[in-house]
Amino acid sequence: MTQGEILKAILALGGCGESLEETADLLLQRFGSLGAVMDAPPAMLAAFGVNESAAVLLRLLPEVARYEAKEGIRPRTAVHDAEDMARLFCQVCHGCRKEELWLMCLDENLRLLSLEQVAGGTVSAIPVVNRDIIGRVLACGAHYVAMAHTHPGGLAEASDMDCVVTRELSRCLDALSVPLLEHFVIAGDTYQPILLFHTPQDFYGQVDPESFYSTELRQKARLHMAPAADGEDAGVPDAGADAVNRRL
Amino acid sequence: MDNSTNCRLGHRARVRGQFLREGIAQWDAYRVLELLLFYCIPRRDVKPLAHQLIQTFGSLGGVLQASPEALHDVSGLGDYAAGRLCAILPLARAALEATPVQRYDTSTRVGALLRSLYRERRANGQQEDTLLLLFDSSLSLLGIKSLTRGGITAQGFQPRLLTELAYERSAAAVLVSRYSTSPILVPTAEELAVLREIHILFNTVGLDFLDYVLINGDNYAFVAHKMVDTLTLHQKKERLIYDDAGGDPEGNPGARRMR
Repeated sequence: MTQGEILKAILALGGCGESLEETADLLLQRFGSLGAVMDAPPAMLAAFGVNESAAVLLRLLPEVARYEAKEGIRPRTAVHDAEDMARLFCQVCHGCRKEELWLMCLDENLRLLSLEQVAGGTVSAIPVVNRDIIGRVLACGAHYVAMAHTHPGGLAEASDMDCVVTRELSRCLDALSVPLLEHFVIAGDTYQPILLFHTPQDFYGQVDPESFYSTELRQKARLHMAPAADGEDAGVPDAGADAVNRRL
Repeated sequence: MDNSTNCRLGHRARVRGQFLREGIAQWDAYRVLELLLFYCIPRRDVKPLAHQLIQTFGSLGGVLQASPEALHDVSGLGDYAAGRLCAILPLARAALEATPVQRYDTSTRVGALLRSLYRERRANGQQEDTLLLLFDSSLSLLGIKSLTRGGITAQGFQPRLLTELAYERSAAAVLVSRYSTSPILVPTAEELAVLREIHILFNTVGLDFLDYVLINGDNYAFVAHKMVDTLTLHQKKERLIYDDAGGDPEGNPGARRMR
């Protein structure tokens, strides 16, 4: 289906009966793409003759597809390595248009206890409250955790602040004896494991890198770390004192 | 319309409002299904039906993937309603897969990109002299919009317009360019004042104002980055947008190019 056909079908289902074709064409022309139309606030769409019900449906349908994809992940799913984790995160983050932070809690045998979105942000930033994350980890009795946040822009590359926040959280979780196994940056179907790519090896001592990461990932990480190999903690700025609320 | 119908319509509006405020990520499956059933059954309390369907098919996905016959057998849904319900999941998946935003090739440096844009527009008889370039957080170009003639100091121009256009495309950063009739690419005092106003506004709403570019023929000058006191770009973005060397063939110190 083309973007126009999808848009017309959604508008029809939403009860936007009058001059459907004209409205759809006008919307695509004005906003440039179906994605942008779906992201537009209902009040803005109303100016083009889209009723509230159809405007809500435009925003609802992609979320329904994501909800259904998340439902497909069964509790107690075994997570063997970093690739398994990344695959699950990519599945639930697929199609997101804003930054989102996801938390995966695992039992002592690395089986899935919960996988939930813990924060939502804007197109370029997301607020992270360590206390909330710790609260959820404790509530589900996790033995291990993994995290992921999305870069809707399509670039799976951790920022300096991503690394700072990861390190802080990892320290907090270590103190609670709930190791953070990995924190992924997800962009579409691509991902970057922050602990592997941006921290010295002794920092991610909770897992055996040989079995947890594929050879390909470890090679990529070595290449990525190479320019900054001489300095300890290279590329990862120190955490400031005001480290409770940060934006990834 | 009787009171119960009014009450149901009010309930539907409330549920839709709740969805817009909080999304469905934390909702139970039956609540999501109830919201979807609003689009299949115009006037009826659909909550009991939502419960019944989830109980029978096990999950939202189970209901949405059920055949019209199965839906009819279980809940007595008519052909019209069952047909609409069955259409939802394929449509939802298609909507999710649809390209989120149209992206342009930004491998071209921004100066060259602007030059070719203006050349093309003038060849097509378009006289707009001010363009707005919208970028996402990784500085991929999302779209290009024409603004009023006269740049940011034109009568009727308001920073609010930039903000609205950025919000429409879910942009994280914007860049404005103006075609100057003068070969001397220097901003006016009025332009600088508006730039400061835009910068303050964008800082407040969480948008990045990347730069204001003046262009004449093949020459161009980046104005905003020179105002280091008020308009400092994020270091990483500066690395992404501009050449390390800086400077244009005419020796204009303000002109640098996009990677």
